[in-house]
Amino acid sequence: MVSKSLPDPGSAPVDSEKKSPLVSTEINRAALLKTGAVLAAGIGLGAKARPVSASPAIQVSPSPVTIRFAGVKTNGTQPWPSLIAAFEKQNPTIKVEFIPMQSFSESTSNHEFLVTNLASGSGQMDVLTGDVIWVPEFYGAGWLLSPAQYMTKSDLAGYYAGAVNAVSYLGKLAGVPWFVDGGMLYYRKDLLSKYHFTAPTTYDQLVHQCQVILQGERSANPNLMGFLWQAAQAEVLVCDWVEFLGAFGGSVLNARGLPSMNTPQATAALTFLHDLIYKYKISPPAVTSMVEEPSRIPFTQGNAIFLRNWSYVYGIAQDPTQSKVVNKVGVVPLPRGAGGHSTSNEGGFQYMIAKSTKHPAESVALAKFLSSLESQVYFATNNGFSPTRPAVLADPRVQQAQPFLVKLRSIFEHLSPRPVSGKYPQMSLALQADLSAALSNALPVNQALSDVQLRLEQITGQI
Amino acid sequence: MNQSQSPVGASPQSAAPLASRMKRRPTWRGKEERIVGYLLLLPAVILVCAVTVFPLLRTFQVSFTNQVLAEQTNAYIGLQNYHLLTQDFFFKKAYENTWTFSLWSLAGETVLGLLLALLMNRSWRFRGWLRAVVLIPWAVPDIVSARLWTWIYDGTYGVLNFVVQSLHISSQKVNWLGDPQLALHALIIADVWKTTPFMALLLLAGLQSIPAPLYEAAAVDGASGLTAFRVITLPLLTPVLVIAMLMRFLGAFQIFTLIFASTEGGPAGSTETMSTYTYKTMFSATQFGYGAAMAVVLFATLLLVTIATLAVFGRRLNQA
Repeated sequence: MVSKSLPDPGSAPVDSEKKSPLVSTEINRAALLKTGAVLAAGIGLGAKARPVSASPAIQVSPSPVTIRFAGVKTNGTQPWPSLIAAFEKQNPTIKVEFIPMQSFSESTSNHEFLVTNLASGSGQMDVLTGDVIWVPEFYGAGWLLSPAQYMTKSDLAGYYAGAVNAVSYLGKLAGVPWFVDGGMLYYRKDLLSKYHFTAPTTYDQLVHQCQVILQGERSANPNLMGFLWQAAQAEVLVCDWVEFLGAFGGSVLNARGLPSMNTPQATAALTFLHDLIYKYKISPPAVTSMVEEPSRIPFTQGNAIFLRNWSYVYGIAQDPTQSKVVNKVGVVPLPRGAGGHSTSNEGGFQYMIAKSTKHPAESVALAKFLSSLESQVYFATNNGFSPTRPAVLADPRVQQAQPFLVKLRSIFEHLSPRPVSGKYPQMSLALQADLSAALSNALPVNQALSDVQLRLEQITGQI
Repeated sequence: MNQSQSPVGASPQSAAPLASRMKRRPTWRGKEERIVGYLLLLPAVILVCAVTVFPLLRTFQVSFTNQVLAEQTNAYIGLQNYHLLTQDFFFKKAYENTWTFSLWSLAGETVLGLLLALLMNRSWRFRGWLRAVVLIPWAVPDIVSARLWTWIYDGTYGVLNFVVQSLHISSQKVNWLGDPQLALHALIIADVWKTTPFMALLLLAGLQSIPAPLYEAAAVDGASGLTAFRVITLPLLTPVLVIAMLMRFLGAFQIFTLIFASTEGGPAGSTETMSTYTYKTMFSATQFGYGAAMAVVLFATLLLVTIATLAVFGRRLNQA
């Protein structure tokens, strides 16, 4: 399922490494002074980063220990067996017991699985993988161990600043970055060039292009749809909403962290989405029942012009066994609306350490290994995951196997997160309900927005 | 069946029904037998208490707190959760949806179940085949059935849309699970499909216990089939019918898998039921106190319905 190399190289020059702000003050001074020189030399060696077991910053137990790792099911070939084997080879005293979780799309089930296990404090797992939006919630609930004492300044410097922010909460490091993802616009290169269009940069252009192409292709393909996105009453609707709202210059929380859903920008964004379905009719009413896969399938079957989805679609679109549009798909950042800018919502999964772990050093060692440069290169080439380390996209192996990731690095470097708060799950449920109501015509747009504003104010304690 | 059981550990003086029976026996031998009886009952009672009574009491207790796991709060707040429920628009919607779903599903499966049971009761050529085929929907696991119907109802590629458009009933693809007006009813149909076999089997058992000579006598008196049904079948079937309907109502009211595996409560909360809303509150929002209050309301509703049913039909049921 891994995409084959495209003819265009599309490699970009490497940006200078971003220095991430120090997010933790809990650093062991003695250890830092002792290992600073060693680490600096190690990182200076370049592409082949030394594995964690060679770093003296973590004292791994000399006697055999077993740690339990709950890993989410990825798309494509499962990466865990080979990575765990490589880790165990480098750390002969550590045995990793793998606990399979469900796939990414089963967000609610995975969340429930983790909540049940972590809340019971039964020590069922030491290292776990979780959605980026669960980091504040789990850390605020006191279920996570901060890996800050095992992470040095130079460790953190190897990541994008945004990636470190995504695993931090209230100034504390709450996890170890794994991969990030962002929403992007897929389009049919062949159809657009047939009608002499280039990829749209504004939503007005997108609407116009859809209308022209649908008109022209009606006889050839009556099943062709215009623009597919996700409007089911589920988490992904909030992701889409953050993007569309940003495209019209709004945001869920304003700069002071207060809900701002009763603004003209929010009204403009929601009205636009409503119009896509009911006025311009370039999105089918069925989007209100679509999550990621039900929207991806018509696109790779050749029945849609535009699709908003995550990065995983590209690999599937180029796989002849799953796609009818091989080499006909282009990817660009999402368009902007009036008064806004192109916004891509931050998705991605991260590694977290359970507070109940009896082997914190070994657990962090595993997390750091899975987040190391070599592992991230493996994830990028094997599964098409966008990395959290700048060095990965500069690696020639990644540039050859996944030029698409390299070409779109600007998207991954400027992602917009959903509200970062321990109360985010409650906010998400309220947003899902009211946005879904407006998009399925159960509530007028204005009423849905004022209702959700009221709910968000209740949840965040404003009233 | 009419006697009430004395609770374990109660003093002999409170075991009134047993006491009346004991007058026929020597006292010391009856007492020994009674203690043995209690001891034999003890394991089952402990199991029931552990699995049912204790969690129930614990839920009551949690419903009086503001426990939210993500915020590590856990303080006693009295009836505040219940007060919040009365103001929660989505909770009220979920409550209404659950009643709508249960009543319609019950009506559908009772009518269809009865028809099927009558068909299976007659001796005709395809009776054996019918009895086997009818069981298939019930044998399919809940989650598989939910995914199956999600695909049938799919707005882009679903087979139902294909049929509807081929027969020219509608020119557009119908958005079964994405339209708030249609989604709940679509899921009701899926539930009726799944649970009718169970009803049919229960009612078949009830039908088979009606003595055949009654029908023969009715035929001799010149009663039509419909009259025989109204005068013989329905009254004699009532105990089984009421029990079956009560069981199925309790099951339908707690529906979860079908909803969660298809629409997750959407669109616009039109398929949100008590179970899904409680689940989301507890496991997505980690509001355990608030969710516990919802669970208590669910329990109270079902308890009242059961008590009311047994009160109205109690005498009839005991005659069976």
